[in-house]
Amino acid sequence: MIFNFEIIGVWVLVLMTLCILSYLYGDNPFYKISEHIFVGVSAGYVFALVWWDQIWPNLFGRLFPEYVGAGFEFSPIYIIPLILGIFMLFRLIPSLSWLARIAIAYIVGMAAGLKFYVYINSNILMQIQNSAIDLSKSGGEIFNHILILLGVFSALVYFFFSKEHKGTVGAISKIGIYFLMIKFGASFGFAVMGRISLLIGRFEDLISYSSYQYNYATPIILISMIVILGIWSFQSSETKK
Amino acid sequence: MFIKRQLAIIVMMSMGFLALSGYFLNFSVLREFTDRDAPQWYMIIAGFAAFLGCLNLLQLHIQKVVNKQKNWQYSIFTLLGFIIMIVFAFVYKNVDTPWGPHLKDENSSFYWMYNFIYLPLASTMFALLAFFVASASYRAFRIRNFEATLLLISGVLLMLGRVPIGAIIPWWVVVIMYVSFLFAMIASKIKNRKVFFISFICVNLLCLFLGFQLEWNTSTPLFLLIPSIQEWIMAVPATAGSRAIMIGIALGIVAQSFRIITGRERSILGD
Repeated sequence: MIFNFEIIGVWVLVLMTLCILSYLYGDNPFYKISEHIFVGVSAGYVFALVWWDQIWPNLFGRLFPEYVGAGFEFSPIYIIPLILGIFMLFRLIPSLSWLARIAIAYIVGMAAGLKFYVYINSNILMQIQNSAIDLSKSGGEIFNHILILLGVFSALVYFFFSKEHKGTVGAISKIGIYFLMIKFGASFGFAVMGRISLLIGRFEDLISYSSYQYNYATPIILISMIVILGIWSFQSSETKK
Repeated sequence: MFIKRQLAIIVMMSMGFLALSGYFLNFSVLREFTDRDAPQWYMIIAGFAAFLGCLNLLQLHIQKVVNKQKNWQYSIFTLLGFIIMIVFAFVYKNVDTPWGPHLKDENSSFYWMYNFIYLPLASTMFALLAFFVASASYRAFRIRNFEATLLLISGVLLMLGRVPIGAIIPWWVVVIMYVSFLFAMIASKIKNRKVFFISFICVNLLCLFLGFQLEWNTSTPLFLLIPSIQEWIMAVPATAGSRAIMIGIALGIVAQSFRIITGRERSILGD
């Protein structure tokens, strides 16, 4: 029997994967445990990543440049985001939670100011510009451009709620719905394909880890889980009775 | 009272004006602040907000364990997962790589946790949705109207066009699909079922005959190839739909930003 950290990791991986997949049988302790582990590990992962990738180099790297060595010069003005960040954490202390509002106000105000221009430029003007018909192209392409323009206009009419969707407006908005439905169908297809490819990836892992090289991790854990789940469901049905 | 309520609104409005004016005033100090420092500050404070979320989660689960609330046993796993990740991120790294870059070192304990616990859990959690998406799609496609049919056709064609089997579907299958779609659209107009089916079969046969006459079996036109149809759907009608959605969202964001900058929108601060 081979025993090293990679093998332990593979056994943990198989256990976690099967625990999550056990949800197909119904809500059970295996799923609940793995779900809770996922929440805790994700929180820890985000915490570590934010600290080492963002706060440490970009904030402390400017406040203590020689100690951190992130390649920035000393910038005392960065004391302001540090104070605002600490204010954000005061949300946990009820008597001081109002201070968090100032930090939130900074984020909201800054995002509003920065996005105002960016969205007008890239998501409105550029999109309208791209929807224009280019008459220098070939017949087929001009037809496609006309169709795109028609689709964009009709779908925007559908989003216009200041006028009741009746008569001409209703007919145009109906065409808009058709374009939106095709878009949603395409997005849906992408979502299904993405999930299926993830599932195939998981099954491939489970199959490759069922060999002797990994001490038959998948079959052993799978059989053990089936037995335990069987006992658990039998006991819970007995308790219900 | 002023400092508790009005100060936040003043900060919100002034930061909004400051950020926006960076695009319109040719003042280098302001420009540098809005281009470099302001987004950096934004990311730093957002990082602290992420810390707040983690600490809040920790607080919640500790309370659950201490008060022995319902299913408190599972909270121990959450706390353990969090603490182990924190230990491997800040206390013990198992490699000589400096603190920080050790997160991406394949031999570090943190990476072990990421690779063997976080990654499989996250991907299996999303993979599990494949089953629920299948059941949701079945329910969605049971709604028999034209819009749902468009959704179904667009989704199925996209999936078929992006897998190898889509490329080997012969032209005559696509012709039958086109004719079926056409008849599905006019089905409500033809009351007599016998007439409907006879005309459906006749049109199919006619189209197939025409296809063989035009030698579509040797040189298939693009509109009869599933991958090409899929590409066209993505390039034309789906683009039109997504463009309209993008413009709609952008208009909403601009309107909301205007309300925030002018101090009309206060609900985001909890007012």
